[in-house]
Amino acid sequence: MAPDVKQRKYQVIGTRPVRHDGVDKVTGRAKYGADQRLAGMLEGAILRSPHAHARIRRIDTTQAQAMPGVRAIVTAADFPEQGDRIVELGEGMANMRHLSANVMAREKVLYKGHAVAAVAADNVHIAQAAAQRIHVEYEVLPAVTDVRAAMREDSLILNEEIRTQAFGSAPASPDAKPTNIAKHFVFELGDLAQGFGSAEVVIEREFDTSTVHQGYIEPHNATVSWNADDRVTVWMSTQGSFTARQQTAELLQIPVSHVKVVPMEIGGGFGGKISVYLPPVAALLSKKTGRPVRLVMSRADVFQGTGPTPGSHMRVKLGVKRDGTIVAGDAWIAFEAGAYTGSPIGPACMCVFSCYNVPNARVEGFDVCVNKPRTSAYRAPGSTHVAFAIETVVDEICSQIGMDPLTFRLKNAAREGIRRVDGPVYGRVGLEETLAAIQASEHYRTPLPGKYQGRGVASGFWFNVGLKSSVSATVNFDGTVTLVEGSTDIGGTRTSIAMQLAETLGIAVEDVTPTVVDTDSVGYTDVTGGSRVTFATGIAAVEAAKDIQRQLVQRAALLWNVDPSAVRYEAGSVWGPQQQCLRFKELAAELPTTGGPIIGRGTSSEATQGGAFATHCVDVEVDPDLAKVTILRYTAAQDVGTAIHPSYVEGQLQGGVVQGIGWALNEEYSYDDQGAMRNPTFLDYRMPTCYDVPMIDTILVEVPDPQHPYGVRGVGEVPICPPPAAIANAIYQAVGVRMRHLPMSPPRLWAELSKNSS
Amino acid sequence: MTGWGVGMGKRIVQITVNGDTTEFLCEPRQTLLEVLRNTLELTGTKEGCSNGNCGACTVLMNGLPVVSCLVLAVEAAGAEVRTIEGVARGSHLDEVQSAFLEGAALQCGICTPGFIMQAEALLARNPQPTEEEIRFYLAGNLCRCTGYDKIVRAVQRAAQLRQAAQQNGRS
Amino acid sequence: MAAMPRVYIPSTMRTLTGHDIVDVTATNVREAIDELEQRFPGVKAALCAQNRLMPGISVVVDGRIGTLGLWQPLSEDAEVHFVPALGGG
Repeated sequence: MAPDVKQRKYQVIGTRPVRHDGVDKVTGRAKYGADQRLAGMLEGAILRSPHAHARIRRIDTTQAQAMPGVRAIVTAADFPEQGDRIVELGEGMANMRHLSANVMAREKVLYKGHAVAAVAADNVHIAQAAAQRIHVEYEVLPAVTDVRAAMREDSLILNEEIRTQAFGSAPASPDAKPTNIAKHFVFELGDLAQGFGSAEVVIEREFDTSTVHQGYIEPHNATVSWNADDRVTVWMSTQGSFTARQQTAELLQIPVSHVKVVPMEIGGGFGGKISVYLPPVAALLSKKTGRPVRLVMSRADVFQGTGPTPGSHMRVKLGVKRDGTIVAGDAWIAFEAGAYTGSPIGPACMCVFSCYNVPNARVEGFDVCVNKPRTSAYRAPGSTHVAFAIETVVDEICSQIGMDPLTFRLKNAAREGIRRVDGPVYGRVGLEETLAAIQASEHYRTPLPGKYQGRGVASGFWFNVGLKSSVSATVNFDGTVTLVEGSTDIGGTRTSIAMQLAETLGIAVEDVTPTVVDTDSVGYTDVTGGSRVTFATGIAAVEAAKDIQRQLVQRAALLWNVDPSAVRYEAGSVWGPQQQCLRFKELAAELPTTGGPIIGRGTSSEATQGGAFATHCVDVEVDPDLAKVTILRYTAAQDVGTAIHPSYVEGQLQGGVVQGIGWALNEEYSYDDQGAMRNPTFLDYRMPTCYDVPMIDTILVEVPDPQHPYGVRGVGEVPICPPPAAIANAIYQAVGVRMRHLPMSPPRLWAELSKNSS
Repeated sequence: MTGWGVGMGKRIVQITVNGDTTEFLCEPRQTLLEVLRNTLELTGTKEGCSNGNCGACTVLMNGLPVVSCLVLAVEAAGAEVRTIEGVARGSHLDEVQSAFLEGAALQCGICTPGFIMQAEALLARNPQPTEEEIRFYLAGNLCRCTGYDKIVRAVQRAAQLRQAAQQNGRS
Repeated sequence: MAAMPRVYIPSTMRTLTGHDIVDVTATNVREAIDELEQRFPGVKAALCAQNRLMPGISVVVDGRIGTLGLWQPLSEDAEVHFVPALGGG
């Protein structure tokens, strides 16, 4: 008889095993990028621009070159010319001219902190001293730092070769006028004029958000060895070893197969460790010296030289009937791309109305170059900005028509069959379930009577991506399985992948040993990002497990001398026609004499997931004298599909919420009028500490995604979307002011409170 | 002053790290963090900001938590230093490590060594801290992944485990 | 009338087509674009570069982003959208 598996749906999925890499990470043994050390290794330093916008007239390296211990210096002159090639990089694309100029400035510097030259020396102190003795002659230009100013016809232009690329239009002619507006999007649905014509309440508001950084604790790093055979090995922290390999190869114009990226443990990424900064620089320094070179950024370099997420200016208009039915929505969104094109303006446009059924809608978006660091992805890129705008407008409408904000959202919620503004129709999604979960929560039902206290709710959406993953899995003769994968593990995914393999094989997760390997040792795998790893690499692991099952069935058929079609795999055992049974471990022991090793392989190329929704509820207290906001209580409900390892799912929600709280209340790049960041330290760029936040309660709503064998939905990104809006709505309930500029820091809140009381 | 001498611009410094007395050569400008990581190859101590804001490089010096990026190596002369590598007893994790591991109190893990050292210091001086006391004592350590919820719970759990272990030891 | 694949035209492209929605007889995305190009010259240059979908554009067929680009098959009643390519953090 087959063991009774009906008591619980799954044996492994939904349990909370200790993660496989855990012991190494609590004992200090885990090797992160900056821990790499090679014999004969040199250390490097990068000279960065002190100006936000300047033409480079001349670089003189003579003095630096002459210093004892200095082994090599590189500038943009050492990099190959790229031309305006557009290259697909797995997750997104890049103009190689821009990517190269971002790694090492050519002709112009476009932001303070832009790399200009690099030194390799016997140690980091010599390298840093030498970098300071490289003399750069600049022609300083005015800095363009405001998104709306950069869009004006008469604005100074950052990149002379940029023409506006409108989505769904042929590329603009090179004869067209140069501009800072790199991209333009328009989405339309239904009849906007008729929609607003039928509205009984219309609210239109403008919003600004400041530039914020992902704030991972581990700075960027790369150690590179350029061998005499022109093979290049890169040890680094990266969210995607394969995209790092491709970017490095393209930037150096060497074959991609000549670059091997060895992903070290990674100390946080949140989207910021996809684009490459250091490997090509270290590679050229290694090529010049014939020795391995290690580059590690300082915290100031990380803030000023790597991609934050855009600042924005947005306008959102929503029209409703008195009964709360949404009839029309209009949004205008401009994102600061930073020095080069590439902000997440497309997804932002697609997300702004994504939580609602808006039958008549228009969204217009702009990707605009300004003299700030080239932006990169940050957790649900673009969605948090627009959630802040739409969710506070919704709250204002609810106040005006006197409707409970959850009831309003339930009435208009996106659900299966609803057409989005960008066209496609939703499949099975779980927004309503998250709204109902908050509505039923003890938190929402408990009154909050205190003076200066207020409660806010907000929802958020993120697509989640699928992309490509590969794994292989070897059955060891002792009945364990070695799982090899290419997805770098930022938050416990070795275990969430291994659990899916174990579930499918019917074995214990402790009997699976997952390993993240280099780009020569596993098939192509896209980045750890887009909330995709547990979904897509999970699918690949399930495929690999099924491949193993098929092979085990054949071995058992051989042993029992029956046809393989009469043998089945179930609950961790193979079963023969006479109810013969061999447990996985028993059959593994027979492998040496029945044909040798078994290797299962799996790939996935699911381009999209079903999408994730979250609804959050927050209680705040505002100090009326200091305008400081304290988070009293926080509950996050999210459709997580199926929670593979609930502890790490909760952890994603809690971490996303606290990043969102930082974005809401404190974090921002503070710029002076020359475009220089004034606060490039963790002291002044104020991320939440554990003293700033309470426990973060989570409600895991499980609406399985039919596109995954176990119903997984990505969980990592959407929890950052609701917090700024939920907190803004709570502040309104507490003190009666509407905040429309992030962060809602004490000075900004104080200014609004003062207006109210005067 | 004991434990260090002068020669060729570098100093000889003697310290005790995780119970072993050792000597190293360093320049006066080198930090304890740099020497731990690069000279003594104890890379479990992490560098996140180099100016004392993030706590990733926290070690115990004579029993007190310090951010080792703000301590010059020569200042550590004669000191007893304990790093993350010295927390486990042989192959046995201590209570703080076990609680972090079992409570999923780490995601990327880069801040974990610093948090564990800071938590060790807290529990040494206050074996039964309240949530408020834990949050206050750990406020100098930044974590960007977890939202701190499971870290705070892990420290609470470690306090319970340690108390239970001590009671068992007594009985 | 027999069911036909239905292409939703991106807003910025509607100046070329004059329609929001165009029905085609194509059996994959490549044929659909060729058919549109015949009727509304300029469509191909707006969607393709070097015989592929332009970088930054994804095709959505029946609610799912296609993994096969121009080779994505279309059923008789397929619904086709062109949307910005997605990434993530």
